[in-house]
Order: sequence, then structure tokens, then C-alpha cells
Amino acid sequence: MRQRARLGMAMFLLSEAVFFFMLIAAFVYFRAASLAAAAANLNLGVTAVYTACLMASSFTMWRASATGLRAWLGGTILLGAVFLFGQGSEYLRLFHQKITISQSLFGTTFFTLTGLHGLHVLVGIALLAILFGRRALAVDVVALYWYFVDIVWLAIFAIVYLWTFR
Amino acid sequence: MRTGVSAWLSTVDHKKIAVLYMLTALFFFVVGGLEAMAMRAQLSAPNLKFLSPETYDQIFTMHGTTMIFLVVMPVLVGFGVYLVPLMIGAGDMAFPRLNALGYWLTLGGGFLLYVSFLAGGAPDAGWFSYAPLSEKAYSPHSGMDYWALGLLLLSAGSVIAAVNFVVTIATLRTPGMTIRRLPLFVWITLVNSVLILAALPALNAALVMLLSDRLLQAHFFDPTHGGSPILWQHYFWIFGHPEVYILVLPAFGMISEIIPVFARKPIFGYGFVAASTLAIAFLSFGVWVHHMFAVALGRVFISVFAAASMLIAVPTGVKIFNWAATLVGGSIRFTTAMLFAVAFLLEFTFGGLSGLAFAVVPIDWQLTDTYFVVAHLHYVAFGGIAFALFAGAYYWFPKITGRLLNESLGRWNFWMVVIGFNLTFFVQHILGLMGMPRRVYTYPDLPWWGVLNLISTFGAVILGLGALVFVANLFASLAFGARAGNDPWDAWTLEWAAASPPPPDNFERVPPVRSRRPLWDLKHPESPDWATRGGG
Repeated sequence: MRQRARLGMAMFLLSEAVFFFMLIAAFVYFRAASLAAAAANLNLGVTAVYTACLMASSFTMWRASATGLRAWLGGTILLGAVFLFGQGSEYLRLFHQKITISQSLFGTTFFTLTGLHGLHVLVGIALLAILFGRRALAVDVVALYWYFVDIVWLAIFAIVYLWTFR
Repeated sequence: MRTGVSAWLSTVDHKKIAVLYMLTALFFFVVGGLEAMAMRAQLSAPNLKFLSPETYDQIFTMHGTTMIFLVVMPVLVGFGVYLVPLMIGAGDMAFPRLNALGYWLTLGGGFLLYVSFLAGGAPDAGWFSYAPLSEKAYSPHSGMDYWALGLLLLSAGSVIAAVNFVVTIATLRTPGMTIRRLPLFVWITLVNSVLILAALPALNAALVMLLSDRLLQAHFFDPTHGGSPILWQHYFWIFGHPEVYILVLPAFGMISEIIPVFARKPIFGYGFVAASTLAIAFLSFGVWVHHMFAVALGRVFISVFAAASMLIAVPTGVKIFNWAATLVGGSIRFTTAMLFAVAFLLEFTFGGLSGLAFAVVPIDWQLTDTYFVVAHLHYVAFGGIAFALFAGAYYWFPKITGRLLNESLGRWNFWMVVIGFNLTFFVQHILGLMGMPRRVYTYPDLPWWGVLNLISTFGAVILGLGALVFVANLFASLAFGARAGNDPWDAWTLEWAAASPPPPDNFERVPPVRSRRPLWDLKHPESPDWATRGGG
């Protein structure tokens, strides 16, 4: 049963990978038109810190599935929440500068891509919270999902942030 | 134990869920068929005003969307959900509750699409909804929003079904059912599921972007703010062309099961059928631009896609030869199922050849957006997919219900559909060559246009009546049909070892599997396949 669940999750994540590939491709497609706005308004340093938190959460997730200890699960939820807080504060900062999804192509591609990723982090936190409360057996299945969401963020961070400020 | 309606609403049994899928598809087949009839009525003579241009746009958009997403996808998933566990000797799908979720999402998507009629107007930008026509500025009413949301639900349902198929086939095979002994329908369902997992998300991404544009004033496909309508075309067809194969591959799977049984021969070149399926799945991601040759994209770029579009005809042609070679020297029984299977071979080949014409770029430029395209796609979609589905219905109805479909009605069904279909669509090739554009609600009284369109409408009436005979046959045979027994066709795959209809847990005992034809081995202990043909 565990093997089935893991394979099922892996297949679902295959479809998710294509989904994010298409969204990232759309960002790259409009990159030339939105590069100036990205360079002027994104904050590489602060986002790098929150990115480090999300990467650290993959480590705690791995420990949680290896040891089954709730403390590691709690740590993962916390780190995920810190990442979302970071994303939220960046959104607020951009809104104050009047940059929204409808303001420019940069806003369109940036908010759609990072917003859908943030939604996936939120779903991951909800799944972890369920595991935290019920001590279910599916930790390693949710872990696959969590690793995937982290890897997608690495790709987004590289393309949306590092490439802009190279 | 729940009974009656609540047993169906709460079921997680793969057979009941499959029947729900099939009944849903049947309902929408009638709806989509009536939409086609409305179009043919409008086009039966030049300059008619039976439908307004606005209504006509909604009707052809809903006809295409319905037939693809609410008829063919659900019925193919339904056949898969019904047959895959039985064919591999399993008791159910790997995730029964997920299976039910997939069905209810599909029904919800259908509901969203059709509720749009009550909410200010149905979507009207064609089944591929090109931007910027699909954008808020040009489609201000909510039809397009319902279209995008409905398709998101339908797509989620398909992805769920695909995940379930892969895991089921990977983990629930009965001992001895190795990958080289899988029935070809199961083989093809496996490949097709991976294709769904890789292609549908491209549609989802495009739909999310379209909804962002429409509901949040984003600018992905909006040229007035730097967005790109061509990006929509790319994204839609990156999904859309694999989708064509997603629709036709399960039909190939059915034909690969039916032809051998009624030719009394094992399939010719099992390995080629399986391998060419992989080749089709792979190549299907490299041909999408042939839907966009009329966009100025650069000569080298479109040449690559033109070449790939010709290349994909090769593995498809390989299959045609496999089926034809299976027929050669067989002792053929022309049941209604077999009639439809053989007609499939002819009609689908014809549709494949007219499709190949579009891979030749100058021909595409001449014929794009004409009735030649409509004719081609219906030879593939109806002459191919629907004919295979009719064959599958006649072949597996006895397993699903315990009763045989009536063969006399079956002959009426077959001949009316064959004659009606060819009358309707063959003349549309000529209309297309004469330059008649598709998706326009009427046409001027040019030489021959009126009479050819009248022939097409006349054919559509015969086709529609033939389809009604099929529906009548389903219900009449369900009530009065002859008892089928477990194995009415003297077939070879495991589903025929179960009772008809199978009990909730499918098998009392799964027969041993030592070759590709376990039931042949069981019935012929003197010359089992594993001794005479190798185990496969």
C-alpha cells in the first residue's frame, strides 16, 4: 500500500512538473519585456534568506519521515510558514509600489508564477498539519510532495531572481 | 449495504464508476449530437437564418468541447476503469475513492460548461478558444469563464484517472501477468496515462493564465499590454495535439482486442503495436505547430514540425498493417462489433491520409480553416474513435450487463452510421477545396455549395438516426437481450473468465497466466500458447 501511494504521488508530481514548467516558460517568454521592472523591484538578498528557510525545511522534512518525530514535522511547518510570510511581505511591498498582476507584464508573470507556487506551499503546510494532528502513516508520501515544491522554488528562484541580478 | 440510487452515488466499485462515466458520456453524446443537428439544419441551404450568428458560434463551440471533453474522454476513461482491473486479474483500481473523485469532477466540469447557457451565454470562441477572441474585451460575458473553469475540473479528473491507471497497472497485476503479456488495451492505457500526465497540465497552465487575464486583468494573451495571443496557440496545441492521440490511442487498444478475437488469430506483431504506441506518444509532443502553420513563425521552425508531422504517420501506419495482417488468413466472424472494427480501419486510414495533407505546409495554407479540416477531423474522430467505441460497446456490453446487444438492430445501427457518416463528411472535403470557411453561420449561394451542403445535412440526419438506433438497442437489449454467459465471443483475455456482470470483487479465482491468451490456454490444454508460441 505504501509503495502504491508513493507511486501515485510521483505520477501526480510528474503532471505538476509540467504545469510549473509551462508557467516558468511563460515567465521566460516575456522576460525581455519585464526584465527592467524585475531588476528595479525585486529584492534578491531578503528572498535568498527565505529561500534558505524553505531549503532547510526539506532537511527537517527528511528527518521527519526518517524518524517519525513530530518535532521535525513541527519544524517543517514553521519553516514553510516563514517562507510564506516572506513571500507575503514581498507582495505587500510590491503592492505599495503599485505593482500588481494587472499593472504590467512583469506583474502578470511574477504574481501568477510565484502565487501558484505559494498556493502549493500552503497546501503542503495543510497536509503536514494533518499529519501533525493524526500521526498518520503517509509522512513519506507528503515528503515527496514537499521536496517537489522546494525544488520548484529553487528553479523559480534561479530564473526569477538570480538570472535577473546576474 | 446501500441499495438503489444511494448505492450508485456513494460507490467506489470500479465497475459502477465506469458505468457512471459511460452513461454520462452517452447523455452528452446525445446533447452534442443535437448541437450538430442544429448546425446542419442551419447550413442545409444558403443564406438561412435558422440560427443567429451568435447562437451558431455558441453551438459549434459547445459541440466540439462537449464531444471531446464530455463524450470521448469520459467514455474512454470509463472503458479503462471498467476493463483494466478485470484484464489484469485485479479486484479493483489501486485507489477506489480517488476513482470516484475523478468521475464526480468530470460530472462537475460538464455541469459548469452547460450552466453557462443560463448564466448569460455559452462560450463562443471555438473549442480551442484562440486569444484575443477569448479575452474579456472580445468575450465580455461569462461563457469563457465557465469554459475555462469547467475544463480545469475535467482536466483534473483526467489526471486523477491517469495516476490511478499507472499505479493499478504497475502494482495490481495477477501473478504471471508480465509487462510482455499485458493485453494491448492495458498496454495502451498505460502509455496513454503517461501521455495525459504530460499533456493535460499544459492546458491547465494555459487555462489558469486565461482566467488570470479575464478575472484579474493580467496580460498574458492581451496584445494591447504586450501580451501574446500566439503564446495561447502554442500552449493550447502543446496540449491539443497530444490530446488527439490521448483520444485515439484507447480506440487503438479496443481495436487491438476485438480484431484478433473475431479473426480467430492472435494479434500480428504484438511488440510492434506496443512499441509504435510509445513512438506515437513520444512524437505527439513534437507536432503541435502544424496547427499553426498559418502563423508566420519562420521557415526552418515550421519545416521541423512539418517533418515530425509526417513522421508520426509511420508508427500509426505500422498499427494499420498489424491489424490488417491479423485479418489476413483469419476465419473472420462479422459480428456488429467486427463490422465496426473493420470500418474503423478504412475510415481511420482515410482520415489519417487527409491529415497527412496538412503536414505539407503549402497545402495547409490553402486548406486551413476550411471545411476540409472539418472533414478530416471527423474522419479521425468519428470514423476512427467513434467507430472503435461502437465496436467496443458491442463487444463488452455483454460483460457489463450480462446481455448481448441485439445483432439485427446492430446491423441497422452499423449501416445507417456508415452511410450517414460518409455522406455527411465526404462532401465537406470538396466544400473545403472550394474554399468554404468553417465556423461561419451561413454561406452565399455559390455554384454547388448549396447542393453539397444539403447532401451533408441529409447524411447527418441518417447518421443521427443511426445513433438513435444504437441508443435504443442499448436500452432494449438491457431489458430483453439474450443472456450472454461469461464468454460469448470465445475470447482470450481475463475479463471473460469473470461472471457477466462480474460480482463486486470480480473473480472467484483468477486463472493462471502463462501467456498472452490465458483463456485460450485454459480452453485448450492440449495446445496452450505457452507451449506452442512461447510465453511472451
